[in-house]
Amino acid sequence: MIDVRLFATLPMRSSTGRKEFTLEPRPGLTVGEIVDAEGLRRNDVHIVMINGKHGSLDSELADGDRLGLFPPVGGG
Amino acid sequence: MRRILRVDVAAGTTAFEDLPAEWTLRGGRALTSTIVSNEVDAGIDPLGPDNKIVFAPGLLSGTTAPNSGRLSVGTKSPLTGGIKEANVGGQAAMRLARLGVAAIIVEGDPGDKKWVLHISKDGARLDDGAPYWGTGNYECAAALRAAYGEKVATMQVGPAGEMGYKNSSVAVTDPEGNPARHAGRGGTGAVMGARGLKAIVADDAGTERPEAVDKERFAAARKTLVDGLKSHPVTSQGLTNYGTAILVNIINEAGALPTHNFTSGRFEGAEAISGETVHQNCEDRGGKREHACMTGCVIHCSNVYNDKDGNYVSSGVEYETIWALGANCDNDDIESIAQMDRLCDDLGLDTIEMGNTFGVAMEGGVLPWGDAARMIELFEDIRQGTELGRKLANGCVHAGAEFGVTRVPAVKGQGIPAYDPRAVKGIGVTYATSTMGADHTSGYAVATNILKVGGDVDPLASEGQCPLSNGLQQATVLFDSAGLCVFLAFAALDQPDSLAAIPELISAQYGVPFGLDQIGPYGETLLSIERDFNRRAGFTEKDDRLPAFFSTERLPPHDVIWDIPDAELDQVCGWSPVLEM
Repeated sequence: MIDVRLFATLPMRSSTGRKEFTLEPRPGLTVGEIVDAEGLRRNDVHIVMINGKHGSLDSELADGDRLGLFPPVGGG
Repeated sequence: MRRILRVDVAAGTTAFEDLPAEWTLRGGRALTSTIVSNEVDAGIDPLGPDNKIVFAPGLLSGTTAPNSGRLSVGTKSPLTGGIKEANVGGQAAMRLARLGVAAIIVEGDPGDKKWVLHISKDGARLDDGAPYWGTGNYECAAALRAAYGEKVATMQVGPAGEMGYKNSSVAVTDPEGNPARHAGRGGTGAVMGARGLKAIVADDAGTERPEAVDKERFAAARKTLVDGLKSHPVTSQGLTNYGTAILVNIINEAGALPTHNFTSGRFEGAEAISGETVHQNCEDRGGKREHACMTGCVIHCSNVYNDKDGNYVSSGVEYETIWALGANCDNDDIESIAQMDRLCDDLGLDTIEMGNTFGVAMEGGVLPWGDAARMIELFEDIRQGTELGRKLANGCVHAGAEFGVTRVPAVKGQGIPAYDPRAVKGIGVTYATSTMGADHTSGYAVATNILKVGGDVDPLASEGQCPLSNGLQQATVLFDSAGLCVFLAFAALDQPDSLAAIPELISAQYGVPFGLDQIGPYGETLLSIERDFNRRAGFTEKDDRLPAFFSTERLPPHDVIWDIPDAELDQVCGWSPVLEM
């Protein structure tokens, strides 16, 4: 399974409102396709984290991956 | 006309001096560090009679430049033993700038005398501070407003500063009059307390804004910068909607949230103490999101946190505080964190150093991991000055020595903030090489390493981190000297026009040439002054290192160690020939 988490404003902007869910892996599945499926605009997502490392909308996901999606955030 | 106010707490006198012409472009940190370097012998005891404390608003403070109300507090630090500039928002810098004060220098041995310094358009004087001595910051701020007027801004020390604790802040009041903004790091409160100075009251009634020499250029640059801030997604949405605590989840996701005294980069309880949770609690309980810590802020990253009954607890429950008293101590109870934030503000303690200290104390078995109730009890020990309280109030290095703990996360005596340097290596370079000790704000490489602002440098790679940190440290000097909130950098790093507007504002305000190409040299000049002071205070290249355990203990989940070569760090600090940028 793939573990997906949406942070900050993203759940409110998605069509499902989900913050955390799991997906069946399938060959060639990209981050961008998950963003599309949640009804998000691709440019709403500024940071993609796959297993704690930066990825992109084109990154492909594998079974067991943990995906985190963030809008632009800052602090200090 | 900007002037220096010299305050002699031994004689009880005050005198204004002209600002030397060659210091026209020195404000904020540039001015405090220049004065401390010139006037304070680097070898003295920071808590002895010869130390001085200097307060300086920034070059743009008091003007209509956005977010320009930062105040620099400079001294020889009791915590690090080196030079210190602690930077704080709130209302004070704006008031001082309108009063024409470029810097306040407080010096002398007060003996048993206690003072309140009052500054207004009619001049400056020392009043009897004894009635306020011993009060917490909240009680003191209210009493000062009652005595001097509701609109004054105050800078003050709490019991921690009075008692000479090396972890002690200078509190500054926010627009609501709450002493919730703190020049937190490095123990500045203890130096102010050692001068017998409980508070500075700034009353700017009847004053005007400092006018720009070239008003049209100033207005144009201001508009460019404000438009930039209002269009950049971080400064107009990310920080505004959720505040700094939004970082809890992303730093946790990146595997860099220091947990259990820097043994893991992920905290299981992160969601419970996240920015999203704080946001919801502020909404549900009649608190406030999008709170501004100073007049003229266009970002509004602060908050007002209420308890479940809707009563005010604290303001600015921030990322660093949440991490320090939360994840670092295995504490996932956000209510206890907000309570401890209030206690730190009232006593005048730096929340970062306090969290580092609790982490070390927990590692030493002094109290159980995650025992928030016991943590809260111990603040009473600190307030009362019990033996245990004193062991906890002098920073994490002191606590490590007291409790026999060697895994102490500190550089130059100052506790490491909320990003594990093994998993965010750019900020590790800043921790190691900053003149201030471990200080994330002095070169915030997290922006580029994690947040994808101002470029993209892999946080786990060792390449590229030293030049990144070095450039950011230089630029940060200008922000700190201009009195600008460093969060403007989130926009300025991505928007060339916003970045160019900052030197343009300074140039227009003072009618002297100052451009983009001078940001680097300006920063390097000041860093050289600060490094020179630290060398005279006895620092060597061995002080520009992270604690050894970061190089030997692997950090989950990325299983990484600290591996930036010492030789590269020495290039940043000028111990060896400077890097080609």
